[in-house]
Amino acid sequence: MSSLIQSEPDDSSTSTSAASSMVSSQDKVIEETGAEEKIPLSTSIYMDKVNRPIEIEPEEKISIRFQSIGSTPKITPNNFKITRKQNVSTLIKFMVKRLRLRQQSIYLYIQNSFQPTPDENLGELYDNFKTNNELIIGYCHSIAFG
Amino acid sequence: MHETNLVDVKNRLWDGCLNVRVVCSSSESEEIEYLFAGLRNSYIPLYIQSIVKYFSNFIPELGDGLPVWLEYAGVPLKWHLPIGVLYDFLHIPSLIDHDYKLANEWVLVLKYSRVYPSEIIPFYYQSDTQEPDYMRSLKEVVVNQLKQSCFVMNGNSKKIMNLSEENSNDLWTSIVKHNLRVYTGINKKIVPTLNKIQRLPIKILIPGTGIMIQAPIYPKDFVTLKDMLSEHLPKPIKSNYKTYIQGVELNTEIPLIDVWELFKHLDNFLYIIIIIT
Repeated sequence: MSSLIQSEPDDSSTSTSAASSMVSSQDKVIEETGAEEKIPLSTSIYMDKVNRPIEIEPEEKISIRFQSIGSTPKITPNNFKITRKQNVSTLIKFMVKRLRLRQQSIYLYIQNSFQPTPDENLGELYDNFKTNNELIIGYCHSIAFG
Repeated sequence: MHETNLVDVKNRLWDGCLNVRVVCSSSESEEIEYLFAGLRNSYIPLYIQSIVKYFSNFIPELGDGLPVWLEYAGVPLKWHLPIGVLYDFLHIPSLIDHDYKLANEWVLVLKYSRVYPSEIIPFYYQSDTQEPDYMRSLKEVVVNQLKQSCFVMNGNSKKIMNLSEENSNDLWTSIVKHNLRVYTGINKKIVPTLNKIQRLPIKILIPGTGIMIQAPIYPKDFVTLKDMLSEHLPKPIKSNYKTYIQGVELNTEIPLIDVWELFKHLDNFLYIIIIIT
């Protein structure tokens, strides 16, 4: 079993869940999750006062490429476009669906080195760790790099 | 600053504590509370077992390995962030216009349910007694964060991968036992000398937005903390902000590299909290 993933509140609601991630092989886009960050009431009041929406180029897309590690099945296609604002948790949910994993048991790696946390932003991981304008995501059933 | 002052600051930051009051109410009994001094430079999973053990005296279901987590003002705490970062990110904004007496303690609520909320990483590993293995989950996260910061600083994670098994174990134990001397001794092998650092591992958090910025930050590009912030903060933020690091409001005119060196957390990331004013 994996630990570096986020639980899904309700596994049965696949139709609404972002993890349903139908991938259309034509445009190879991973469906998005609309997870809103919860903020404390005290902070939200203070933010209302600030009253300035802050957005980081939300619609711009980046390329990611999945690479299986060890005996983990390959997926085709393995390269996708995804908006910068998405988080690692979107990829985890996608892989769990795509590989039809019963348990949430998938480990994702960047640069064949480290597991990002589920709340890390893909656009920024891309800026920091891309290779030839792709963010390469290694994935494995078990811990690949201890 | 003099060398001795810097050592003193480093020690104080390492030992910085928050007074935490955890409350929980069971169906029949009144509210029960548990107080502890939480190290800013540490993580909730290191405390959660004692907290659960205490509350299970009053709420027997808690003894069954049920998912538990802590919440602040209805927001589940992401346990993979250092405790001090969580406090600064979630609680400091509410103190800005108030009497700082409110800052004397941080009140958290212990929650339990059949499943973990979606905000937090579930504790999937179990111990032999079928209880969540908090330590194993935490180690996995922290070691991976250390590898990530190692990659950012060195361009690869060889330095941490090449640590001897003894060093790796001691590094983890020093984090758990909060031993600065042992931690610093081994961490030196991961962190290059300041003039050889490729990029600085920095995360910028903006309360109220869910934004966590980790841009590629080359130390040669910026002199002061302010230079870096004006480049990397989202555009609508100009000069209307306060900068908090490790609970301290900082003057942003100081050299970026010094701020990172002194104020980085034990995963070698510098966490900067930007509060818009």
